[in-house]
Amino acid sequence: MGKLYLGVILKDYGKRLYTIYMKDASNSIQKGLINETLDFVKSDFLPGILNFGRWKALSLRSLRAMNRRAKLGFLWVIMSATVFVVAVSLVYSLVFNIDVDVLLPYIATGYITWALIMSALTSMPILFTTYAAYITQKNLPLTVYVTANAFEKMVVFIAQSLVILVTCCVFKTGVSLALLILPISLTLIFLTAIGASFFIGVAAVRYRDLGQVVNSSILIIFLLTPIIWKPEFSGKRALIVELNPIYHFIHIIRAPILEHEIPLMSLLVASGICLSFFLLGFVVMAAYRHRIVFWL
Amino acid sequence: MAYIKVDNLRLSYHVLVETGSIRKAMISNLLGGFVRKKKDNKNIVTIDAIRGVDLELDDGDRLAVIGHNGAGKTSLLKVLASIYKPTSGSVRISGEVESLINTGFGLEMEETGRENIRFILTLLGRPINSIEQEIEEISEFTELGEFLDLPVRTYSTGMQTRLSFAISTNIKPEILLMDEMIGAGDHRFQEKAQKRIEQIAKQTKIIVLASHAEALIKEWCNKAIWMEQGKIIDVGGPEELWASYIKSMTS
Repeated sequence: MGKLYLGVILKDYGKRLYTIYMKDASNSIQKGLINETLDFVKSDFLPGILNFGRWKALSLRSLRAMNRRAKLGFLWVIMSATVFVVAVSLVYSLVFNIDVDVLLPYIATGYITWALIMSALTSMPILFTTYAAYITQKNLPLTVYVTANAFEKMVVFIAQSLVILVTCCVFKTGVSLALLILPISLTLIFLTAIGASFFIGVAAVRYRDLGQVVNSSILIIFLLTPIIWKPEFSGKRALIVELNPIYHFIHIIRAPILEHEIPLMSLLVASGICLSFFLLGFVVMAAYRHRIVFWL
Repeated sequence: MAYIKVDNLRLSYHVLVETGSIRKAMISNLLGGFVRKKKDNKNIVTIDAIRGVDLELDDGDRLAVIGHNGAGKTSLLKVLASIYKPTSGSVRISGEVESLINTGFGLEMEETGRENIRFILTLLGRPINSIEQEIEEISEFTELGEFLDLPVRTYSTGMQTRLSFAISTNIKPEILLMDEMIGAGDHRFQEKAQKRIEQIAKQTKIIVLASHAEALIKEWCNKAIWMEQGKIIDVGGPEELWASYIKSMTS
């Protein structure tokens, strides 16, 4: 189903890109795809991403809205992560008889990174509809909304990584120079979220079912990714770990903290994915960005 | 010098009648091209909102756009505000454009009036060093006093309108696009709002006003176009054009 679905989207994209490339008959300003992409970068992407104040204001507004009237407010974001991490670790250590001091830091790092990826992924299909009221009223660069959304998820992650910090201190996972790679890993995740938002966001505003596809596959992805289980468990089927892109994004955070090594392979894979999403996203935005307002 | 030059402007867009069209797209994908084409035509309706409009405005022009609902007035304003991109034709604009198409932009009920003002000004990209002063100006204009530090959800409808009116009209554009007249609270505030709009209008070089308000059109405008079904069907002075517009409706 998912494969077929992707096929439809790619076919639709392909047709549109082809017509633009072959010079759109209905467009009097006839530009090739490359020109359109450059135009997007120049008139939307750069002014959008470089205007720090704008997207910061937007993401702060959604952050403030989280659990606004609850007494503990934003603290709940940290609390809910703690509850999950502790509960899963205790159950596992009881059922499978694994040491808590190994398990807890592992699950804390993995799960909180997963929470970032999951919230970014599930927000992408509804990104443009969330900001519909803004998009239909002012002509701000669309990149502003995309960046604001990604930044918001990053802030939540940084707040939640307090749990990682505490568990790592309690169970003494140690410090090493490998930790210095973490800012790069985080930037990579941030950028990938932006690139993927362009691609998935546009597809999902046109094909609303895509949001449901993402939502219903999230649990499967969670189970298939070594978050509450270790890659070693997969034994001979280690390929399902290596081929899972999400694993690499989690590994670039987890490996420096727990294994004190720089995961070169995973960094490479993550950069590749990031770059591909940017290329795809730019091309799709170049072709469709003026239509989004009519699809909302 | 500010100007607007619109040449053979067309705007069409597709509306998906059945948003869940993926199911049909998938079936037609399996069945091949023939069915797909037919299904496509059924599910996607093309709306030709503007069908060939030419327009030329210079400094001092105050244009009234009249016509029935759905004639393409708001679409034209949104193209001029670069919210919609023309399907074909060219739009050349020189001068800073501000639109008062919908004044409720960016209001968040859970945030206080002051937070809302700050947020909207930041999002609109106002220079940081003048924002504080602008917040003061706007706060003063709303006359909301201590309510400005309470969440907007506690405001009455009239108070909300006052807030959004004050924010959206704190502008000094060269080109002003307006859709209808904006109501603003009680009688006294209405007068104050009227004065403020007139103030802006005086300093603005070009105004495009889409309206059904006879008095406003006659008082403000010196040019008029009459749109019907996405086309300009008549051009003239505001008074005479309004007269023939009314006549067409009664006859």
